[in-house]
Amino acid sequence: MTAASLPPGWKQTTLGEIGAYHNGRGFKRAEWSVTGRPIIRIQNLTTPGKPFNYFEGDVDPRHEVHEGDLLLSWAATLDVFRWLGEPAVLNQHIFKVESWIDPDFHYFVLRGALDEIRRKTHGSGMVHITRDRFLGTEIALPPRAEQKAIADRLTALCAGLTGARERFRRADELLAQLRAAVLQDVILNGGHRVAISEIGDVFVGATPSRRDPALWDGDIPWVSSGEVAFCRIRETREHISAAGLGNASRRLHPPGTVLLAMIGEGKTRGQAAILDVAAAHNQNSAAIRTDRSRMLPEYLYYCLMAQYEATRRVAGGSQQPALNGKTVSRLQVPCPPIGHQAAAVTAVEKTLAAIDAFEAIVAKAQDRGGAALEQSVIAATLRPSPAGHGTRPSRPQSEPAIAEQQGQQR
Amino acid sequence: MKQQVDDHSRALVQKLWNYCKVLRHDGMSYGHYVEQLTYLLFLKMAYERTLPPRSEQSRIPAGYDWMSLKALDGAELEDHYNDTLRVLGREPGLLGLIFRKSQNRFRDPAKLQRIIVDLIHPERWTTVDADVKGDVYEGLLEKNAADTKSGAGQYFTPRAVIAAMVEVMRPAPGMTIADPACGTGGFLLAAHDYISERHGREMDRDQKTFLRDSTFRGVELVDETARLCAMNLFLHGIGGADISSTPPIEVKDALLTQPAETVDMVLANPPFGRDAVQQMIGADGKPLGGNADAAVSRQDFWASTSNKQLNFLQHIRSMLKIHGSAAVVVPDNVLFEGGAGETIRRRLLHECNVHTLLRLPTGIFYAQGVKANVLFFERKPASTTPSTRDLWVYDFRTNQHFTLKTRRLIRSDLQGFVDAYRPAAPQERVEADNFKLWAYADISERPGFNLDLWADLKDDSLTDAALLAAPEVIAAEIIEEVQAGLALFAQVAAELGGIVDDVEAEDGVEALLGETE
Repeated sequence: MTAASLPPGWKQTTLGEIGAYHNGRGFKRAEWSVTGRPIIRIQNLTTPGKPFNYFEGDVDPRHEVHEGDLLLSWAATLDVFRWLGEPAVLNQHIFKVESWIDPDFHYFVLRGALDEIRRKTHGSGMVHITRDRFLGTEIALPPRAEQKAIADRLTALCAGLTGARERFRRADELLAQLRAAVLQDVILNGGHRVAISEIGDVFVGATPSRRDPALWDGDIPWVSSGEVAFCRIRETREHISAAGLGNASRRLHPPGTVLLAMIGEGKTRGQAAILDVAAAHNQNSAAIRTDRSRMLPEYLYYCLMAQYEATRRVAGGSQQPALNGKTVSRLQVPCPPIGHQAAAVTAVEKTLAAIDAFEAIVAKAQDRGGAALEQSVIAATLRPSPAGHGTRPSRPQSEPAIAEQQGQQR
Repeated sequence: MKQQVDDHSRALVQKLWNYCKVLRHDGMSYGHYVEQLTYLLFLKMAYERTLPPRSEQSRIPAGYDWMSLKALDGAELEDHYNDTLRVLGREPGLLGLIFRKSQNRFRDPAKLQRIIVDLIHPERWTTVDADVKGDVYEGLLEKNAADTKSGAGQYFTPRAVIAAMVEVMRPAPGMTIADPACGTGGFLLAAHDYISERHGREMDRDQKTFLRDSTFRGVELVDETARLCAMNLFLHGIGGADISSTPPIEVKDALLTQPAETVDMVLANPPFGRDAVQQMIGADGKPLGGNADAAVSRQDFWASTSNKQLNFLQHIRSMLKIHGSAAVVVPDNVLFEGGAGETIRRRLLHECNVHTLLRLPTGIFYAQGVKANVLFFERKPASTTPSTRDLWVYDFRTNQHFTLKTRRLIRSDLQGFVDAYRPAAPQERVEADNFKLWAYADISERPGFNLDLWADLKDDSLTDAALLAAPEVIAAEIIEEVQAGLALFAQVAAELGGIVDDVEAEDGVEALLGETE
């Protein structure tokens, strides 16, 4: 947009003409303390929760940061932040923005300019921008009153987007809870409980010797415990040969067998899976072949899913937590009539599928309403418009767009 | 007449809330609104004391009082407000506590002026019923706690739990009552109200003065929270008789040193979880809770650990007079954590009569997934035999489903517990399905001195079953959140609609609205 086509009162100018940008200073490790003012480093701005180092002494006023100051990070990431904490001091590679225009408008102008720079350099930002290029970035500047009005509007809009994102994040958490609650209902409504040994046979797997290649890479799927991950197993990473299998009837399990991971510190222990193909498995998981007249494999599978935490605690103790064939046999699950089981499985699968679909929608909402939308909103609202974007100017029109003296701060 | 007063109070409450909404639109959070309201109300009330009938001498430094603010507007008001906050923060006593590290959060001095002139000045706040003032303030505090991003929720113990704890503990006139992690003062206030209501009629003047000025002590780590606590107490008439003298709240880390004096009763809910504290950064940019990783090492402690809740248990024991009593909210891990935890539990049951454990339901705290209990104990004189004979456990967790919105915990939900506790006659307790007792001998034989007693009673695999609300309840909350989120998007879209031909933004939002309908 050329100067000629700007609305009245607006002018074409550059980032360098609307403020000064003062680099912080280096602080040596020896200068770090636990008392005094916090030293703001880039990581403190980008990662909430990062601890601060503190500085006891005095610094040049240019390196002092007060609440409300704008900070521009100039390494690793190119971004602008508002400092909302107590008085602090500024590390190098971050610029404190001395604003000669409305500071809130300045913040959004910087947001917009940086978004643009990142877009042009495909996100890398840092690689292609020099200080001079940055200062020379052109922007359209409205009159002072309008600066404030636009800034106010953007603050409200961004607050709305942030609020929405927070809601969706919470919805995500609740969806995970809902998943668990639905499974929990299966258990609560399943009635009388029996040990697994009463409704099926439990087998522990084996690993053929790794030193003998003849035992491996055959066409028998072989499940390692990491693959027992609350899923149906159609294929496996590793295969063994018939020789590796050994005594077939005990070690090769038919489709419909339920596997339960028995060993592991991480999340694996307690996870279950159902075989969709005949397969063998290692000794870290138990295979449960249910008596179909008493228990449907899918029903057992969902019970194990619901009882995941409790199963993990069975091994218990601070030593190597692990289940074994015996403790798996003794695990209890509800055992209602087969008809009830079938109905429960159908209901659960339907509900879980619906939850999946809803999770996808919420994910999409978070995605669409995320950073990209906020950038568009900022860019659009900053675009010059003769009618003005604000609803009411709150300062007299005569106030200069850019404060007269360089030294004039807020 | 009372009806008129009630209506007036209600109208006042509504005005305060409405103003909160206006400022929220301006970008001021609940937390900041409560903070600014605190400064202004405090100044107005201090000013009212200088008027008849009290006609007290002003304790506010000349030139920085209420009337000096009321006289100004615009940039002058803004400057003077900033100066006032700064100057008063350096004063001693309650005044300094309220204003220390205070900041002006108003973006627009016109709004500040409106609050001063329209909202606060016309009312005689000192005559507004303490309950009303207190309720409004606490209502705002609770809203702030619900604003999950601020993290203020970790300071909030559900009111129903506080009320039940106070009722079974039965604080009485003449007792000294303390909370070493007082947050916004919920326990102290509940104890005050309990004593006023039960004993107010028979208390003499000295007892009433003692209740107002010398009964309650609180310690709070964070300046901002201590400020809210002091104001909360002040609005209820506690500790404000002389605003220059030592306030009832101290701002410090209670765990650093042995308590200087002992008290008759301690009520507390120490902050949740190591991790929660580590991630919390206070408004001053410093991590809350200091260096959360450091193990606290004190002469009077039985064991050195970095577990904050275990340390608070040790600290609280030190705070108690012999025969003093305590009720403390503790998370599950305090009951079974090994190492120092075992030592501490063993010593606690030896030196104190740990007589009751209440298992709280999930879904009642603002912090996610918290499993907590209330431990009740009395400090006993030194002895070679253990002071605990029996530990009664009341299970209010199994099959109890609560949420923060659709199924809130209320006081009557805990009536079963209060009744079973038999505060006036604990020797008459009887066992029931949800109330069982364990003898000390049995407890001391358990590996690790594990106090997670109830967990053994039921089939392990059912233990988790009690933790979640019914699916319909959760689904309802999900819909509420998503609808709220979409409403916010719609608002943004509407705002943009007037001025934007940016197809991208509009397209994004509208497409989103279309798909998620």
